[in-house]
Amino acid sequence: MAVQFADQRTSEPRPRPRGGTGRLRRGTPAPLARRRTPLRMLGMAAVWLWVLFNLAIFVWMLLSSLKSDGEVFADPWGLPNVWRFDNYVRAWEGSDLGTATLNSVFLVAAASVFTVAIGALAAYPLSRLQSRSSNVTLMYFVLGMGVPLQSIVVPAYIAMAGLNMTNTLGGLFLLYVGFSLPFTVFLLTGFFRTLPTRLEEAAALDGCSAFRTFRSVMLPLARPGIVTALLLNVVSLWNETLLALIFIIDDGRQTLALAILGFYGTMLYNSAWGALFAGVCIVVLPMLLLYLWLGKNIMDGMTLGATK
Amino acid sequence: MSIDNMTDEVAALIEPTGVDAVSFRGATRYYPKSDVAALDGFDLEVSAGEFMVLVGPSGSGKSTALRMLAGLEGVDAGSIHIGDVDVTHLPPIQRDIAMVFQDYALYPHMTVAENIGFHLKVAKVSRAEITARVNVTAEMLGLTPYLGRRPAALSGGQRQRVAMGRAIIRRPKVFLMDEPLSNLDAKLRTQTRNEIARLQRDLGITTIYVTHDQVEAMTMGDRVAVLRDGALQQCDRPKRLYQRPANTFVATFMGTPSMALLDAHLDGEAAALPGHAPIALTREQRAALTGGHVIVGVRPDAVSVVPAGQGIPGTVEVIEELGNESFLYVRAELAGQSATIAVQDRDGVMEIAPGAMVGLRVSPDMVHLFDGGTGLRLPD
Ligand SMILES: Nc1ncnc2c1ncn2[C@@H]1O[C@H](COP(=O)(O)OP(=O)(O)O)[C@@H](O)[C@H]1O
Ligand SMILES: [Mg+2]
Repeated sequence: MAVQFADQRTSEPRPRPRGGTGRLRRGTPAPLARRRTPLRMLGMAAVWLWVLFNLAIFVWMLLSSLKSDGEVFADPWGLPNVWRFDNYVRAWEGSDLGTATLNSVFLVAAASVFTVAIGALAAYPLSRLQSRSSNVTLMYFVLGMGVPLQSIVVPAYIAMAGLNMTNTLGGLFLLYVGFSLPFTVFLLTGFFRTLPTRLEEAAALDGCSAFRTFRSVMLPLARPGIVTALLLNVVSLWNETLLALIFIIDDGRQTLALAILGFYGTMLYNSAWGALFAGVCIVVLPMLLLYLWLGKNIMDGMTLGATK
Repeated sequence: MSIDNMTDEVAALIEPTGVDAVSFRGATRYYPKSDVAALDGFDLEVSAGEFMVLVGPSGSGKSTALRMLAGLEGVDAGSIHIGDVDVTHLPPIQRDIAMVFQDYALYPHMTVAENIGFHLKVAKVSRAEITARVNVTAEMLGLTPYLGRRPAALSGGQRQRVAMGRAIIRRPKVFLMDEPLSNLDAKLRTQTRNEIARLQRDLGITTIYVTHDQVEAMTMGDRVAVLRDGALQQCDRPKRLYQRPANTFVATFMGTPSMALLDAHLDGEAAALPGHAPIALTREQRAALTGGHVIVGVRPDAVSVVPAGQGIPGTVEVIEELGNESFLYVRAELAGQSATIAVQDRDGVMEIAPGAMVGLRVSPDMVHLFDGGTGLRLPD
């Protein structure tokens, strides 16, 4: 039959008609984007001020963590006279941050992954079902977002005590998953709603069950949303202090946020400012690196719905 | 590569496992929150191996019919059958149907090879067989160089072929296509149109093809079903549809330029067209009339231009030069009605400018006659 499809003859890769100059061009922005209204200028100024302010704090924190205790306040903006890397050693060894860091890494990773896993399993059907009961269920999750943590600490404590899970990392894991689910389900439901239903129809014709469609088609497409949810959960759980403070008593089960809290006290008492800032850096830097690594995914996840 | 010179083993990889007839029996679909049927008592018999085209204006229910057959929409009344099986309530998986969507619906995160082979993978076909069948299909469609690419890195025509490949590789009982060419440019559309028709003939898979383009319908289908507002108007071979349209809708929908419809009234045994010799009606035609009105349908080849003062008076509005032929659009004033009549300028010799006054003469044996009340064709 010699099916010669038309565009196969014309669309073979052709040599580029012109060679580049090797100099990358900037490209003139569209006239609309170039307009400088007063409001726009004001907005830009505000944004830049905010960025500078945050950068300044970060630089100050980083510099201070490398200074001697006296120098931190004597010369807040100067470079350290002597680079005191041993501040980090002091911080790390001074209050057993090693164990706390391990606890935090495992707890936060497990809780975030588990939350996003079951959150996605809940969010996908909620994004597709139009029934009244599914709307009520989604509403229930949304309401969960509005409940302040502080107001349910006592009932949560009683419940965990009943389960004999106070002062255990497993108990904290359950609490973290429970408190993270509402926002995760809400975020992912919104995200799944932006994905085209046409691909599910194609998958159904290709023979996929609902779960296979979810696993092989929708989940890969939802990756930016999944990464966003994961990252937001990791950051908030990494910094979580209140629940850890209430539920964890043993030093060996402390999370990093909790350990740093105790560490503040000790260092303040000793005026060990350099080590204190080193401790703060130990908490903040991993999240910063995580953002630098996965931040682009977050932006994709947050804007995908708007552009497609 | 062509099917003719493939080895038997290779050909066996893509040839259909069996073809089946399809029938819609009073199939009806109401969309939620609507009291108008998107498809209303639809009856259609598609024989095994046939290329059936569904054509109609936008919103006439073509996609709905296709989606009901695929199992993507529910059926509110009536039934749908594939072969001997009533599939009305079967899920898509059990219908053995492949579909090419208008927007292709390729999986963006999979390569071309993975897209084409996805059904086989889901069906747990062995990896070796998947690879073999993907390769044969890709070779047939000229997609071999692109097997490792993602859909985003393909041109429109290539994506269209991936969508075709995804359907062909399945060897389905029925092949559905919903306006598969509408995203291609005009030239590619014409070429691909012919290639799809040829592919269908070679594979012999029962195919239902949806389009709003009457040229596609006329050139591709073994038979064409015309829909309007969810109701089937007529289903016949393309030539019959053109030559014997069942009602005024089909008459004006098929053919470019459109057939002009002129109101005439029954005067004795003939239809009287103002300013024109009466058009005689047979006894059967007169008997079929529901009232005193006749609609005279005139295609461009049934009219000729005569000097002003003879025939139906009119003014030339537009001249459409198509290169090999040209059409005059003449605004004709008949007592109480004005109609634009397209006239074929067969030899391209008419030296006429827009605005010129002309006369029109209709060939009585080439007109189509319809009942003025119902719009239905009068018996020939
Ligand atoms: N998902 C839907 N919900 C409600 N109404 C719909 C839906 N899809 C199509 N319709 C309506 O059903 C009718 C037929 O639509 P469709 O089958 O898509 O027409 P076509 O494919 O011939 O353009 C139209 O009036 C359309 O507005
Ligand atoms: Mg349609």
